[in-house]
Parts: sequence; C-alpha cells; structure tokens
Amino acid sequence: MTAPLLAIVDLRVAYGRIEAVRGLDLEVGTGEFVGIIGANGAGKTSTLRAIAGVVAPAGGTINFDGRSTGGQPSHVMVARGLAMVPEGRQVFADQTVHDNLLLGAYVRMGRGATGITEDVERVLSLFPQLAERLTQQAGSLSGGEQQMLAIGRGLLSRPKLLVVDELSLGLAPKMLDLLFPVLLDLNRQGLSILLVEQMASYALQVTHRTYVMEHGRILLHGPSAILAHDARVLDSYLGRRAATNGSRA
Amino acid sequence: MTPRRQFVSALALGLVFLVVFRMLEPTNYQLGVLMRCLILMIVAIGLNILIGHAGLVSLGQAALYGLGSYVAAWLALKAEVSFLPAVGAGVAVAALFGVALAYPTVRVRGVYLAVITIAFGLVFQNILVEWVTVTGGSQGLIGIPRGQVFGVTLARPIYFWVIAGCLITAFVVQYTIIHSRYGRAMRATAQSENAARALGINVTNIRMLAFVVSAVLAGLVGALYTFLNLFVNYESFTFFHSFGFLLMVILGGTGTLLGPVVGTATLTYVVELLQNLREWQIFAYGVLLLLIMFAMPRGVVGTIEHLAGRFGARSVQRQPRAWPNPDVPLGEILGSPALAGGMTLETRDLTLRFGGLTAVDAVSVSVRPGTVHALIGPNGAGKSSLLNVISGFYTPTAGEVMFEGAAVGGLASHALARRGIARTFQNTELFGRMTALENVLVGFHGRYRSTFLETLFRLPRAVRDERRVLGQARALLDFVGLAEYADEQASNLPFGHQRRLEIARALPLRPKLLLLDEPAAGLTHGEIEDLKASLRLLTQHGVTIILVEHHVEMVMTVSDHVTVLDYGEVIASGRAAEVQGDARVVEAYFGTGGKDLAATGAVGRS
Repeated sequence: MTAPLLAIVDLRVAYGRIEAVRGLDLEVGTGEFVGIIGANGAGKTSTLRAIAGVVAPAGGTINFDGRSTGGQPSHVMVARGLAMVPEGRQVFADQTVHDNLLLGAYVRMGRGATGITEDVERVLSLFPQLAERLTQQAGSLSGGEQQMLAIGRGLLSRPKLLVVDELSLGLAPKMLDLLFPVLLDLNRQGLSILLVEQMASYALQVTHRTYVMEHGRILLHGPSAILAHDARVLDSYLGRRAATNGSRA
Repeated sequence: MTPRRQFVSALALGLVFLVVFRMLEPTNYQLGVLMRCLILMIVAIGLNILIGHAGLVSLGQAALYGLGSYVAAWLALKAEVSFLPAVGAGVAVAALFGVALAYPTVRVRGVYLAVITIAFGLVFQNILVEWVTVTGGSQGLIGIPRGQVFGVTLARPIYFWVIAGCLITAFVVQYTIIHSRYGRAMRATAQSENAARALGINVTNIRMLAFVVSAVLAGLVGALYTFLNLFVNYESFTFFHSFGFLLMVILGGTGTLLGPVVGTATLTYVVELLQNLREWQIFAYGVLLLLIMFAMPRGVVGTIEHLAGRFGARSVQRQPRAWPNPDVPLGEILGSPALAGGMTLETRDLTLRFGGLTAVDAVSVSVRPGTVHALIGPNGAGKSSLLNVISGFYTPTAGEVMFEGAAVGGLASHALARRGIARTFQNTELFGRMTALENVLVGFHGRYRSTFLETLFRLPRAVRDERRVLGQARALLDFVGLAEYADEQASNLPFGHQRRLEIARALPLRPKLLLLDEPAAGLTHGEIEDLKASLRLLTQHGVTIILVEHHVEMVMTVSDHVTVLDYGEVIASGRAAEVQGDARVVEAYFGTGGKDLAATGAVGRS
C-alpha cells in the first residue's frame, strides 16, 4: 500500500487564546477527491492554513508527499506541489488575468520554465470565459470568473494537491453547475483535491470521501455516497433540520 | 490589566515621579531638560491620537507647535498681552490651522497626506525666516517677558507644575477620547472608511476632530515653550522636529496609551546621553533606533503589551450560541418604527454607468414596508451596484431613489445611514483590530445625545449615554449569540461569526431599511436556518430588508418578493414561486440547481 499524499496526525492549531483545531487526523490519497464540511468556527480554514504553511501548527504532524512539512512556509509548500485556492479568491485585482495566471507559475520560473505557455492554454480551454478577458484587470471580473482565475492560477504551479477553500462562496447557482464539474474533471485526469465547502449537497456529490468537522475535531468521516445518507449529516448539513432555536425552547 | 487600571497606575506613577524629582532638588539644567521633555510629550500625545487612532500620518506637527509658540511670543512681546490670553490665542490659531490641514484628507491619505503636511511645515519654516518684521527673521523673537497669572510670576519652580499639570491633563484627555465614541469612530474610520460611513459616521468631521485635537495640544505647549525659553526662533520648528515627533510616537508604540510618553522620554534622554559622543552622536542615535525597532517592532509599549497578552493568556475554547436569541428585548434597541403607509423604498428608472459600462440599467423596484425583498441574478448582474446606489456609496447617473416618500438619490452615505438605511457588505467590512463589542459600539455612534465637550469633561449626560449604549451593545451581541466573544478581536472570528457581528453592528442605527449583501455566503445549512429566523424576527420589529443572496432555498423561503437582475436590467419580478418558474430566470440564473453534477462532468463545455 502506498503512503497517502497528505497525512495529518493529531493536528493542533491555536491563535493566542483560541484553540481552533484540537487533534485532527486526516488523509488524502494520491488521485483522491476529499471534502471537508462543517459549521463556521469548526476549524476547517485553520486546518487548511496549517497544511499550506500559513500558520505553524501548535502540535501534531503533517506529512505531504512522503516528507514532513515541519511548519514550512507557504512558498516552500507551493514549490513542493501544494496549491491553494483561497477563500474569497484573493486574485491580484489590479493585475491582468494573464499576469495573475503567470504569477501562479512563479515557483516554476527558475527551473527552465518549460510548458508555462501550454499550461496557460490548458487553463483557458478549461475556462473559455477567461480567454476573452485575458488583458482585463482581474478586479473587473465577476465573482465566478474570479473563482475560475483563482483555480487556474493554482493549477499553473503544477500541483500534486489542489486545496480549494469555499468554492461556492458568493457564486450564483448556475456558476456552481459549471465549476464543480471542472474540479471533477481535473480529479479524473489524476489531480488530488482537498475541498472545503459549505454547500454540502454539492460537495458530497463530487468527492470520494468526506470528513465532517466540529469544534476543531473530526466528528465522522467516510465515503461521501454513504455520508450523504447519514442522519447526522442530513440533519446538520443537508437541510433536514429545524433552526437551532426550535430545540432551545 | 484592564485599560482603566493601566491608566490609573500610570497616572499615579507619573505623579510620584514628578514629586520625587522636585524633592531631589535637581539642577537648573536637569529641570530644564525635564520641562522640555514634558512639553514634547504633550505634542507626541496629540500626534498619537492622530496617527495611532485616526490613522493619519502628519509630518508637519512642528509647524503647529511653532504656530502656538510664535503667536504667544508675538502677542506677549509686541502687544504686551498677558500669559493666559497669549496662550489661548496660540491654541486658537493652531486649532484653526489644524482644520485647514485636515481638509486635504477629503482627497488624500497615507504617504500622500504626509507629503502635504511636510509641505505645510516647509512653508511655515520659510515664513518664519523671511517675514522679518513679524517673526524677527532667523534671529527670532528675543526678550519675551515671563508669564504672569493673577500677579504670580511663572518662574521655573512654579512653571514646572504648570507644564506638569498640562501633561497630566493631556494624558487624561487622551484616555477619555480613546475610550469614547469619538476614539472608536476614529479607529473605525481608519480601519474601514466604507463601514464607518455605513454606520452614519461623517468621516471628514472625525478626521478633522483628530487633527484639531492634535493641533490644540501642539499649539498649547508651543505657547508654554515660549514662556519657558523666553525666546523663540525657527530652529525649534523644522521638518527635523516634525520627524522627531513621529519617531517618538512610533518608538513608544502607536495607538498605545503610554507610547508617546515612553517614546518621548527615551529619545530626549538618549540625545542627552549621546552628547558626549560628539561627531558620532547621530550614528549612535541611528543604530539605537534600528536596534529598538528591530527588537520591538510594535514600539516599546506596544511590544510589551503584545507579549503580556500572549503569555498571560490561557487556552480557551468557546462556543457561539445559536441566534437569534429570543430573550433579548430587541424592541428597546430598535425602537418600534411605525410602518409608513407608502413604500419604504422605491427606485425609478435608476441607472448607474461607469464609463461605457452600464451596471444598473433603468431599474424600478418598490419595496413594501416590513417585507423581505430579494435581489437575485448572476454574478456581475448589478445587484451590489444597486445596493451601493441605494446606500449612497455611488451617485446614480440617472433616475431617482425614494426613501419613505422623500427623494434621497445623491445624499451622502452617512446621512442615509442616520435616516435609517443600514447595510452589510459582501466581503464583510468589520473593524478588524477592534473587539467584537467595540464594533457594535461604533454602530451606536449616532445614538449619543452628549456632545464632544460633555464627553471630554465626563459630564453626567455623557456618562449616562455611555452606560446605556454599553448595555445595549452587549444585548445585541447576545442577540446574535456572540456574547462570549465580546472582547475578541473581530478579525479573529470565523467568517460566519463575522457575518453575524456585521448584522449586530448595523442594528443600533434603528434601521427602517436593512440591506444585506450575501449574508448566507459561507454558512452551513443549519446556520442559514438561524439566519432565516433572525430575518423574520427583524421584520416583525418593523425592519424592511433587501436581501442579495445566491442561496436559492433561503431566498425562496424567506422572501416576500423577488426581483431578478441580469446585465443591470430587471428580467423578472414577483412572488418567489412566480419567479422560480420563469424560463428566462432559469436560463440566466438557476441552471440545474446542483442536480446530477457527476453526470454533467464531461469536458468540452463552450
């Protein structure tokens, strides 16, 4: 059995007094599409920040591609093959779409820089809408187009693992119809993906396995197709639940 | 240590130091150095309010200081005006120029503002040198008589206590302003101007206030300096001195209570100590600054506070409560706006163009009071632009906005906020470096009855106001289930809690119309159920809501009316069920609604 691409054991993340992640175990196998769902404050984004090297873990180990990340900073993690599509897109608003894509390939520039043009072409064939806007400033794009750009920018580092934080945030339903299948296609072509998503109904359809986070820990995990019928998931994340006040009296 | 205890202990320590210093019978020289140091501390305190709280960097503070000094000197020397009126005139003139310096902040900030203040300082310095008949040219004004108050001559031993008294007053003023609605409004304006305006804060006035406070303090001690030194010339008020004031504030720690005092003391006495080094003095000064700032990047006091905060903290895990909390008496805070007979909001052929792009194209919507009116449409359809026009952030190119029957198109956003149009922002615009409680307190800015002077002198009405508002702000945090997070810095809250906090912050405006820009984005299903319940509760309290949202299920269950925009135009409008079946809307917006994603996953979409 080959080692998983990403293996997290007993991860802890704390900001000053607040402990956001309290002992989390998680794995992403090579070629796998894994989702994390959970309420706000459950620690999902903090987990991703620790994986990407944005915050140093307060405890536990993260192994990526056979080696410990040991709190390596994010630029090192990108070079090692981990690309992040951050929450809220974070495109470089006053640079052009094309420059945003090229910046995604920044870590490759020093290594002969072959194939960047081809990779840009590949992204543009994935998102034809971006091709029409290549010379526009990224800030002038609609929310959906910015999300396409953020994904494209991530792909240009030729990642082994693509980490996507809140794909659906602020996007119209029709845009989701377009973006989720793209992730599915990328995964089918061999890319490993870790997706944090609030729209559980979408996430459970496209991922192989799903972790449910609560209060900084994994509450349950398993194949997405099975979790989609789990009573707890149905109640809390798929809308068979009354407002919390209903049970508060 | 709470800020109040920190303040009281600093004040007590300072007093003890001053008394002990006097009892040790210092030499005339030592006394002179300390008196100059106390004077500079007052300038630094004023500049700290400006930089650390209002976020405005001034490199012309020495000119305001010099204005106070020269005005007092000229009056005392040439017009034989006595001490108190001469000082008063110095303060008044400096304050006037403070207003003038604040004016550019309407257009420029940051380094650009710094350049303008540098220019002001250079012009002032040049006038001092060249307008010989008034200023005495480069020689300055010599032979100023000692000040006299009620027949008492202000010789050094007495004058020491005059200056010390002014410093203590300035220190108290700083504390009072920082912890009043004005200090909060300054920090809010500095951290997110848009959010401050949306909460009814006139940001121009607040910036002007910060400039005037700093100018009054600078002018006051400028005049005091005149009667200490008994001669003035331009060499005390150069750009280098302005720069020195900035260093004092930064070295001490911007925005901290004690920073300006510590920074000034450090720099003053370092210079004294380094005088033995002769030609290597500036070198040593520079190296020392480098070392201190590298070791203490937030300034001396700022870094100590930061470390104390980290080491003193225990690990805690807090759980937000569910919301809305039905036990909170919302009616007391919101008032009970009587539902007007007509429409709450009407737009007529409202149009907004940016250059060649039409973001909002002849949109007419009518929003009935006490309803939830949803605006939906594809990304880039003009929904947020429409919200920005209604809330006064954009001026419409054509058309009219009617709020409760009155035309309000083109009014400033803070004026609209005070009339009762509140809003939240798509990407949340909290005041990140303020606590959750402070964020809500800023929302109450327009609900105080007391004036600035009442606040400054802690008159009963100001104290009552503050107590009432504090109670209501805590109640609002409780309403959104974040009571336990009251003292947490807003930027540390998870995204979903930030959204709740933003709604809590808008409610003190007693909104008749609440504009919510994607409040459900980033929330899980259960959290959205809470949000829906909250919106219903708010409408029951007479709040009319315009909801921009992509979460279809939420829009369809909570809205009384749905308007669909595409390319800036209304393509459908009606009750939820009517709009949901509209073929154009399905085509432009809904798509499949996330059904059978896996099946549609074939490559080759065009």
